Amino acid sequence: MRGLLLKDLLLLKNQRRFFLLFFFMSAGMLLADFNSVFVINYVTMIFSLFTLSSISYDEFDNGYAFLFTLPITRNQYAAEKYVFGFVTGGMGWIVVTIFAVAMNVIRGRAGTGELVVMAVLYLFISLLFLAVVVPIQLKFGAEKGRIVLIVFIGVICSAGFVVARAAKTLQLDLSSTVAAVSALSTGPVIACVFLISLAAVFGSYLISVKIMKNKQF
Amino acid sequence: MLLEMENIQKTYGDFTLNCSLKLEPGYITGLIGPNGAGKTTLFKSALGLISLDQGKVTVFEKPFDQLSPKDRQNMGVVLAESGFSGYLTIQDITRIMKNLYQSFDQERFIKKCRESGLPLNKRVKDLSAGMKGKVKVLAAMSHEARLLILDEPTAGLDVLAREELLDTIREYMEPGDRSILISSHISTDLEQLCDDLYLIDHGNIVLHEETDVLLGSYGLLKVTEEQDWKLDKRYILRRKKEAYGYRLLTDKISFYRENQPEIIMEKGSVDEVITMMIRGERL
Repeated sequence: MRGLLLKDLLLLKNQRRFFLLFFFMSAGMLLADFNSVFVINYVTMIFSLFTLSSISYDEFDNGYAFLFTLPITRNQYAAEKYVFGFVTGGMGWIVVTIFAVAMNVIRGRAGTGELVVMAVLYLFISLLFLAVVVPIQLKFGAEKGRIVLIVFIGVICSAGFVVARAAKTLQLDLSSTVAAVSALSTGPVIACVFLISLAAVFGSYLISVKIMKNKQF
Repeated sequence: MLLEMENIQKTYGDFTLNCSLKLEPGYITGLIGPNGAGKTTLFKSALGLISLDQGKVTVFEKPFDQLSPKDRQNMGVVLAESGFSGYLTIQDITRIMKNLYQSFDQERFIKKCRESGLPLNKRVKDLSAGMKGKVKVLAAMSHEARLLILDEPTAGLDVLAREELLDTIREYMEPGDRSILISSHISTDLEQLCDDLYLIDHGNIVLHEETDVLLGSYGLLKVTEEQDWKLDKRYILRRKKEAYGYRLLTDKISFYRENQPEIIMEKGSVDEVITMMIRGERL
């Protein structure tokens, strides 16, 4: 696992311009007083995505065949992709959260605690994001994976739209449900999101292992 | 036995690989065959990269799927069409290998790379084909593996680099408990290096022989139609029609030397044997 992580980190060097661009862009957004929670969420998601590009590097030029002659198992390979995504996402998250909190304090605003809580929430949501994108990328590869992901997001948005339309047609009041969720204290919500994310990552890992075991090189 | 493949079968469309192979301890075993004969499929089967329809592969006396990552550390592999990402440098590869293999000899690897004129800080994709080949072989030999599986390691190398590589392989075998399975399209490389040879064609092993026997006992007879008609064909393996009559491949040239010295005979070379075994008519 250590060797695989190191490989992906060393390959990340090839994307250092992209990496730096995002750091400066997010710093600029925070300096320009964009919504801090949005910037934290955005950067964490984008940095988690580096795990997808590491999969692209692996499959490029028939690289998988050699990779699986190394002393690693297919289970370890699948697990490493989640760890790597969490490490890169986490790195981006830490830097941007510290910067956002510092800006909040410098600007003398209240609600720093809430900002940190929201940041933690989005860190866990990025795990959910990994749980969806990693198996898609492993199964379909870089090119097809992108299309499948777009279709998947489309389906989720359409489902949301259909639910909202149905609620309107049936004259259901969803705002009371939203208000009830918002009224919950943040502790249990974060704990729930954390547990759901962990469960999703574990389920997703099992799917990824199955995908990798069925692959032939 | 370090590697044993028993009646393995794999079908892709109208191609079927169907063969058995053994790699004895202390042996360098060569695999030769024309393009598309099934060499790469055989290598992939030996490495568990493809699932088999039938048969079993045993490495270090264990079924392949029961090998632990520690067992896998005892294997060094070169694949003709795959390797470390071209976006890594040799320096990067060194760091990765150090984290993957307990016995990785970093100093020796770097020294060998320097001796071979390989730039340590250049990305592998920017190296010449020959340099890329050298990196693959040096990496495979850098961690004291007992079993080396080398698919076309000399591809892209010039004559001098090939000779140098063959010397490195011989040197690698010195401890005595190591084995190598190697393929090459350059038969002279294998002639010089291997203890035994497997010839593969259309997914089947058509010949397995010790190299000494192949070079010493095999031979070609050039006969007219009349000589062919009278010839004792007990030791003739293949026959091919020629303008003067027939060219025949025998695995006992001494028999014909003693009994029919009037026939024109040539000592066998691996290339001649391959050509006759594949193109010749079975008697």
